[in-house]
Parts: sequence; C-alpha cells; structure tokens
Amino acid sequence: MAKEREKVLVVIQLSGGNDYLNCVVPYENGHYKDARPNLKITDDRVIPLDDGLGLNPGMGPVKDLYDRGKVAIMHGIGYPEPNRSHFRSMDIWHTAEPTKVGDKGWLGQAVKELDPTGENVVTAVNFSNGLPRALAAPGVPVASVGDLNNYGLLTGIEGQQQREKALSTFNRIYSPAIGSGAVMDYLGKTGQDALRGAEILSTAPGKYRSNVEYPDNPFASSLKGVAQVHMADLGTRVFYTQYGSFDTHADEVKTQERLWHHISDSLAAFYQDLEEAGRSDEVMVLMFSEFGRRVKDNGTGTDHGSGGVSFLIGDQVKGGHYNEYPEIETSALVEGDLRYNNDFRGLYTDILEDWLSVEAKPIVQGTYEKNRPFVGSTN
Amino acid sequence: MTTKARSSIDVKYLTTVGFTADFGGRGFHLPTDIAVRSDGHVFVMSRSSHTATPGLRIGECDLEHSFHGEFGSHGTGEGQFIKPTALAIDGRHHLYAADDKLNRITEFDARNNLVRTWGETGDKPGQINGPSGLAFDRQGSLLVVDHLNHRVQKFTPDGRYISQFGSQGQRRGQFNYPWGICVGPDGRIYVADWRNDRVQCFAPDGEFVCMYGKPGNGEGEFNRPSDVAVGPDGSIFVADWMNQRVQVFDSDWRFQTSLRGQATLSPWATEYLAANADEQRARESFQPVIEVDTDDPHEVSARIESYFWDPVAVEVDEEGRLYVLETNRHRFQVYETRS
Amino acid sequence: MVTKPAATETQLMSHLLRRAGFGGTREEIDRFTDAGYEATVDHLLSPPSVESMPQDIIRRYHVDQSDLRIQPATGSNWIYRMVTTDAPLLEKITLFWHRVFATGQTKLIQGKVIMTQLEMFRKLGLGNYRDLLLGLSKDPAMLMWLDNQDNHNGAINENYGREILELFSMGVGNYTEEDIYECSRAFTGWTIANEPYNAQKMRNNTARPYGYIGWQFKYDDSDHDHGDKTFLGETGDFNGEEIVDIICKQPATARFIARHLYHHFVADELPVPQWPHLPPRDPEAIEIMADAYFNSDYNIGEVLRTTFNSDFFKAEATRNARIKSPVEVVVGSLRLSGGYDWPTDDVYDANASCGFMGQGLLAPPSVEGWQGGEDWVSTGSMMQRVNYASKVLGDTSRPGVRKILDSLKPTAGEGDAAALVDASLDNLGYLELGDETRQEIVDFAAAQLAEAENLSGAARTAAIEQTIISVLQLAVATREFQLA
Repeated sequence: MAKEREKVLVVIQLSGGNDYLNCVVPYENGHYKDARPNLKITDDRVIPLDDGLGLNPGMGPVKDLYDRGKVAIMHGIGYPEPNRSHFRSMDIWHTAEPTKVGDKGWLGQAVKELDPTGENVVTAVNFSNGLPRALAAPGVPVASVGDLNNYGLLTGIEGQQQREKALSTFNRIYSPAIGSGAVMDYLGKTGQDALRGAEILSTAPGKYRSNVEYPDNPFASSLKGVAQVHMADLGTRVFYTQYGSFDTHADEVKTQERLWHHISDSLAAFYQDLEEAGRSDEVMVLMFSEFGRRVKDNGTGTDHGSGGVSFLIGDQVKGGHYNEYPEIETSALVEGDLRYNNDFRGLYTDILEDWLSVEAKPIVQGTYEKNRPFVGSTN
Repeated sequence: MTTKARSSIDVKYLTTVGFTADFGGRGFHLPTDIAVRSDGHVFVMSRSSHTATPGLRIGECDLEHSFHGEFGSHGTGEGQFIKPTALAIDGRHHLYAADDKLNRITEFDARNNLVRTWGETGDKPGQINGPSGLAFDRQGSLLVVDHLNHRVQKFTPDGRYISQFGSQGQRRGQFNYPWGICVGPDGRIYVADWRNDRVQCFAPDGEFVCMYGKPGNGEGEFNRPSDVAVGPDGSIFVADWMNQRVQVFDSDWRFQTSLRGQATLSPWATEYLAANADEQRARESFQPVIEVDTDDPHEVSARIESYFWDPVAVEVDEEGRLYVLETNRHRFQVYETRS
Repeated sequence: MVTKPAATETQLMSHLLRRAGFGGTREEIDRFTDAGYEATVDHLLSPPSVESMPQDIIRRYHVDQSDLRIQPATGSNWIYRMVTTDAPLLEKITLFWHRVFATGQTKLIQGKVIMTQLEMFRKLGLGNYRDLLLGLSKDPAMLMWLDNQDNHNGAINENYGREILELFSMGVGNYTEEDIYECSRAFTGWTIANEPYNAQKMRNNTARPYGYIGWQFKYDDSDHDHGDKTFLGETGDFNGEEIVDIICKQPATARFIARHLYHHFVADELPVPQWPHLPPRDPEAIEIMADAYFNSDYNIGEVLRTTFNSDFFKAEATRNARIKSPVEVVVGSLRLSGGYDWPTDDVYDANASCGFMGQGLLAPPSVEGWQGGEDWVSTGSMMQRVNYASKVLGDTSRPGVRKILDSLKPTAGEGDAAALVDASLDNLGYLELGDETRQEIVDFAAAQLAEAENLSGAARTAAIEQTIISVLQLAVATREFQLA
C-alpha cells in the first residue's frame, strides 16, 4: 500500500497567535526595546542567531537545527487586510481564502490530489479530536487521532475479546450487502472505511522500534505519534498537529518560553528519531500561527496583531532567513502592527508544488511568489 | 450608583482592581473568592474555566494596583485545585483555600508556600461534600460551609473536626445549598443561605440567632445571595448574586442602600488600552451606562461594563473598606464605608 | 423498494418525538402513545412546562456559563437546555432557526450575544414569522454578523439587505438587485449602542479589559434614509418594519420557509443554492405547508402542526430516512441515558463531540449554516458518532442506562438472545433495525450469553451484565441509529 520514500509534510499549528517579536527576536533593534519595555528579551537571555536576530530562550533545540542548516525562517508572513480574530485568521490560513469564507482546506484539497479516490484512508492523519478546517474537503477521509494508543471504533466496549467480537459484528452490519438505498449504502461505506482506518493505524505503535526518549510534555505525544505512524509506512503524506495557547495577553514571557520549550524539545526528539531510522530526509515540518501580536506591549503581554513568522524544518530545507524582518519603527506599522511582506500563499505554493508535487494554483487560487526553500530549488 | 436613601452608612466608591487574564498573569479569570490580609494584601482565587485551566490560580495584589504574583494551579496534586470556591486567612497570615470538587482544604503559609491539604469526602461528621465558604471564628477555628451536606462544620486549622450545625430544609437553622460565610466582630456567624434566598445568623456555638430576607428583587429581598460580610461597626453587606447588586444593612438588618457597581478603569486596564491605540480611540465615544431595554439584571450587567456582573463575594477589611468581587468582569471594586 | 406495512402507533410516536424533539425514551413514547398522536403534537407545540436545569444552578457550578463568553461555555449551556428541557420542540425550533439564520462566534467573537439571539428564537420561533423576522432584524448579533452597523444613509452596505432576502425569506430568483438595494436603504440606522467601541473589540477579538459588553439594538433615526423606496413593486418611505411586512406576504417567502422546515423536520432537501433551479423533493408537501403559513397569519407553529399531522410526514418513506444531525445524536443519546439532574463536566464532552462530528454550536461553517444530510457523515465524524453514542449508552453510572440494564437482566438471565435484543431496542426508544442487522446483534448476544453460561455466581452475573451493555452499545452503533 505504501509507496516508499514519499515526501511527508508535518504541520505544527501554533494556536493562539505566536508573538513574532519575542520568537525571532530583533534584540539589538532600539525600536524593539522601546516597544517592549516590560517584556523585551534581553541580550543575556536571547539565543543569538545572526544579523542581530535571536531566538526565544525556549528554542534551544531549534537553534541546534538552525546551525545544521535545517531551519528556514519565513519572515513577515501574513495576508492582505489582516484579521485579528483567532477564528477568522486561522480559517484564512486553513482555507487560503483571505477574502471570503472558504469551505475547503488547503491540505484537504492537496490530499484529494495525492489520493483522488480516497483509497488510502490514512493519507492524512490529524493528531487532535475533530477535524481542522485545513484538512476538510469533500470525499477526503481524514483520521483524527486524539490518542494513538486508544484509537478506534467502539472504544467504550469493555474487554478486549468482547470488543473484538463487537467490531466484527460492526463490520458485518455496515456491509453494503445489508440494507437498501443510497443513504444506507453511504453510511455502510463510510463506517467500513472508518473501521479500516482505525485498524490500520492501530498497528503503528506495535511496529514502532526506537530508542529515542520523547520529553514529558503535552505536545511530545503528538510528534511521537507522527513518528510511529510515519515509520509504520502506512502511506500517510500529511500529518497535522497543534499546540498552544500562544494567546499571551498577560504573562507572556513565561508562557511563550514554556510553550517553545515543549515544542522545541519535542522537535529535537522527533528529528533524532527520524535520523536514527534514516528517514529524516523524507519529512518536512511546517510551523505557523494565525497571526503575530501587537508591537507595543500592554504591561505583561501583547495583544492580537498581524505579520508573523513561519518555519520550515527538515533535511531538504535550505536553512536561513527568507524575506526581510518588517520594520518595527512606529511610523512603519499598520495600526500598531507589523506590515506583512510575505504572502503565506507563496509558502503554500512552495510546499504544494515542490514538496507534495501537487498543483498549487487551484488551491491557493492564484500565483504567489515562492520562497524556494528546498535543497535543489533555485532562487 | 450609590443611593443614600434612609442611610446612616456612607458608602463611597474608591477604586477598581482587575483585568481579564485568562491564562495567568496580572489580572484574574472568573474569580470566585477574595480575602484581605491585615497588611492590605488582597488574594483573589481565579477559578477559571473548563478549557482555560492555566488560568486557575491565586493572585496576590494590593489596593495600590501592585501585582505581587500568583500561586496554585489546576490539578489534583498538593497545592492544586480543580474547582476552587473559597478563601480565608488566619491570624498567622496563613491562607486557606477550599475546593468543592476535590473536597479538601489547602493551607499556604504567609509566603504562599504550601503547608498541607486535608479533607475527606462524605457526609459523616468531619467529612465534607462541596466546601463553598470559609471563615475563621474568634477562637481561631475554621468554619467550612459544607454545602452539599447543607451544614456548617467547625475544624481546627489543621483539619480536626470540632462540631457542626445545620441540615437541609427551609426551617430556621436549616440550609438549602448555602454558599458564603463570615464571622462578625461580635463573633456571630453569618451564612448566605443561597437557595433559600436569605441570610442566617448564628451564635459562635452554632445556635440559631436570626434569619433575614425572602425571595424577590425589592429592598431586603434576595435572589440567590452568594456571600455576606460584616464590617467593624456591624454593618452587613450581602452579595445579592442573581440581583447583581450588593445590599447594605445596619447591624439590625435595617436596609441602608443597594450598590449596583461603578467600576472605573484600573491602571492595568489603562496600560492595556495604551498598547492598543485603535481600541483606546474607539473607547473615547463609549458611554458606559446606557438606557437598557431589558429588566433582567444579568443581561443589564452584561451590557453595562461598570455595573457588578456576578458579584460573587464580599469582604470588609479592618478599615471598613468593602471589596466586591465580580466573577464575570474579572475584577473587584472597593468602597469606603462609614457609619 | 418493498412496501413496508403501515407503522404502528408506537412507531409513529417514536418518529414524531425524534423529529419534533431529540427522541423519546420508552416511557415517554408509551405515555404519549396513550395520550394520542394529535394531542401529543398539541403538547409539543404548547408545552405545559418549559422547565430545564435552572440557570442559577448551572452558573454556580460552571462559572464560565454565566458570562457565556464563548465556546465551550455557550454550547454546553445550550446542551443542558436541550438535554433537560420539558419542551424539546422549543429547542428543536431554536436549532432550526440557528441553522437558517446561522450566526457564528467566529466573527462576533462573543458568545453571549448569540445566546441572547437564541433566546429570541425560543420566544418567537414557533410564532408569527413577521415578529421573528423583525426580531432578527433588530437582533444585535445578526446586525453585526452581517455588517449592518456599516449600512449608512448615503453609504449603503447591502449585506443584511441581501441576506434577509436570499437566505432568510425568499431565496434567489424572487427579487432584483434593485430590491436588495432598496431593502438595504430601509435598514439604514439599524445598529447597536456604543457601536464604535463594541465593533473594535470584536475586530480585535478581545475580552479585555473587563470581559465583553453585551450588545443592544439601537435605531439611529439621523442615520436612516427617509427617502422613498420601491421594494417588490411597492413604493413608500419604508423603514425596516414595512420591508418585513412586504417580505412576509410573498408566496416565495412561504415556500422558502416551508422548504427549510421540510428539510429540517421531514426529509433532507437539496443544498439551498440549488433550490432556485430544482423543484422540492415533495412539491405538494411544500404547497400544503405554504398554505398553512398564509392560513395561520404566518404562524410557524401552525405550519408545523399541519406538517406533523400530514400524511407526508407520517409516510413510511419519511420515517427513519433522514440522517441525524450531530446534535440529534448527542442530545438523543444523553436523553436516552437519563439526561442530567445536576451540573457535570460531562456536558463539555457532549458539546465538544457535536463539534467533532461537524456541528459546533454557535459555529456554523458559513452564513449558509449547515447543509446536513450526507454532509454530516465522513469517516472521522462516523467514528465520533459511533463512539459517542456507544460510550454514553455503555455507561452504567447514568441513571437511564442503569434502569435499562436492570430491566433487561431477567430476560438476559434466561439466555434468550433474541428476546434480549428486542427488549433492548424497545428500551432505546423503540429503535427499529433492519432484519439482518438485528440478526447480527442477536448472534453476538447469543455467543456472549453462551459463554456466560459456562460461568457461575458473580462472574456469570457480570458477564450477563456486560452482554446487555454491549448489546445496547452495538444497537446505537448501527446505521439505523444514525437515522431519524
């Protein structure tokens, strides 16, 4: 079923609005210091990168990957007429539709191209309950996994034996041979697909062999799950994970650093896991957030803004900075926010065309300047 | 909204302390109780919500709007809480917090370090089910409103059972899901008898003394009173929760006045607006008090930012200052009271 | 298709309670069957009690359900209402209007104003459509949802003017672009109090400094366009009230609302955008419902009375043929399991599950609401539907489940698998399964009971109990349970 060595995308959604200025920190910039009297990250705490920029103190492992040339930092990312609603802005990122409410997710559409008949019910695997809009598209099956070790149908039935028997009954009562009419047929097929997907995924933890220890934090289990499913060679091409909340209106310094510790430590383990298995060149991680935050702090935190930062991480990524850091000077701001200079649909185009090999134009609905962040892609 | 009808008690608005801080930090989130230490430090229990569990904590601040930090968190471990309800401070400046899910009391020392937790679930003497109010009596014993057992129990500060009074019902001395509690300067115990829409008063030994109030929204009537406080001069303040007001009585339960709230922007709020120029601009034309087209006090409070919205707890300090904590507005208003 | 025999009274009552509510328990169905079908329709339309879990109790224990800032507090609060109400049709019609007048927190940010809107649906939703449409036009959540605060005299914003015609009353094809413009002019000055600040808080998605401020309707006469308007052939200095009057008397309105009601209460219709181009599934039914609308002075309750008492509603082709919405799955399961008698965090799981299945309350995917039908079901949502219902009906700490379990023990103890399955189905609100499906579950039960026979004492009792529970769980995991 699985074709070997296909490229795989892992999305990490930084929910709540990751503060760009305190994530990739222009710590030598006087305007930054002026704007952040209460929560600037000082020289002694920042992790210096280059060009006067540094990383949040929680991002040590990301710095290590950066030094190895595996981290592309996409500066100033956003979209026209920024929206400061978490929901709406996230929706825009999910559907690549800044102007009207879209109903199809960019990755859902990509999965449709990767597996047009929906033959492999685990082409896309989401690590959370419920389906992110990014993965929604008609006829695209997506497995949403809360906990890989307890994933499946009829999980409420007690006793292993009893549940197995019930599942086999379930399979028979959803058989297309039973019942009549289009609705019953549709329910039957969908039920059996769901069962098949669960059975396939449930094999992953058993097949997984690794000596890598993941950190003990709430996010690590998602990335460990990704590694387990990926290494089980089930043909999954798109993994979706999320972590937060980065909505740091108060107590930002502590909160953002803690969250980045969790993510960075998990990423380091994940990357090591892939490397030890010799599978790190197939996988690329995208990290994005729905928006950046206000330039000026509010005393203990920052409020919703626009213009943010995304990251690509992987062996096939050409590390370094892409695009300019937007001006922080007050006169250059838009309503107190950074002015975006990099449309996220360009980044999506890079990923769709040059990583997943899917035509981007119908999905992002237009042509956007690419960043060409992959090894072998030319500027 | 200070009305002075027939009032021999002067109530004057002083300040508002607070800010919406869902996930921790300077401010509160859905606070359920407040306690004032004799050095003027104020402790606020943010219960927070089902999904914003990082918002659960005890914040420490003062009337000068200094934020001194926070402690306690969501969880079942020692020093953690799931559904915190009440706070009280003893003579040693130790802080006690109740949790009506975990059915236990947690004690912190004067530096906010955990001392111990105690409490056993049940309905036998000494067991608790839903502790919702805490107060120290003049002997230094801890009174716990054991609300799902419809009684008040008295413990030593380290959790040894002493005595109890009350049972479920509507007769005198009986309770119907009681909530807040306080001890007056004369040692009498006042209990907000929540679903009986009244306040009851007991002698230090638990003997019934009097009850006051009936259902309604008129003067001296209550709709689910959640807390009661008694000032140094004996004046009584009742958090008339569903009526969204605080009623003030003299020590003989003569109605004095009713407060509806008149919050102003705290410095924390002002600093926030300064960082968000678009909101600050838009607020310039803002009329805080509008004529509303509804009679429902809860909805009125939703529409008028300066009014109390779910005034859940009242506290009076040694200077006679009244603190009114509002769950839904993540703040407390402070009033000066004087006979 | 083989012609099925006519439904029994019990089957019809169970059908009515599924459609006009969230399904009945066995006791409810028996009781209402005794009372009679039409009397039950009357009862549902004019409920003698509208009690549900009291708000003071809910607010004390779930402090986030007082300010109702946003999901999950809002949705969970509504779930309480739906699960514990004595008046299920009131909630079903509220859900209906929430679907048609889909207003979402995604844009409005604060949930309280939508909860207030829902309260308006509860109050007016079974009454005169004119009152409802006027209530909607003055509803702050709707005004902000469709940008009417930006609709000014001399600077028209057509969003509300367009949608009231396209989505809320007549449907595309029954008016011109000119009518939209004139309609929009009539709604100039319909805004909310303190609009600049409240709108800015909404745009910035902020509950700071002190939480949200509830919105209130404000009519600003100085911003209202008092010129003559020509709308659907009538001319005058129309304000919003007159526009609503004109809309309500249009035959197109009657048919459009009838088709929506049919879609929600009778059978899945085509997606709304196709309605102008393709005829209704049952044009005769729509005409009957549209007639009821005019004959009752636009009374929605009367349209429903006609519908529930009609042959097309009671037809065999109608029963058990509509895919349940996620809310119907969740609330129906909870009501079968005994509901809630005291606040519990379980309600948050229920609310979240609706979202996982694709029907996040107060979060419609767009202004067009949820399409429903087969759109409800994907592999992901199917897993959630099956697991949710089987988890709830397998939870013996729920009083309703306990009661069913206890009542089935004697039958199960006798080892009669078929009798056990049939009695289980009756206890699940007379759930009707196809013959093959039923037989599979009987086979499952027979095998389990046979194994129990090899045990003795407490182990045997436990095995029998477990068999009963598994039968209940499998019964609600069927395709048939997915249908209403």
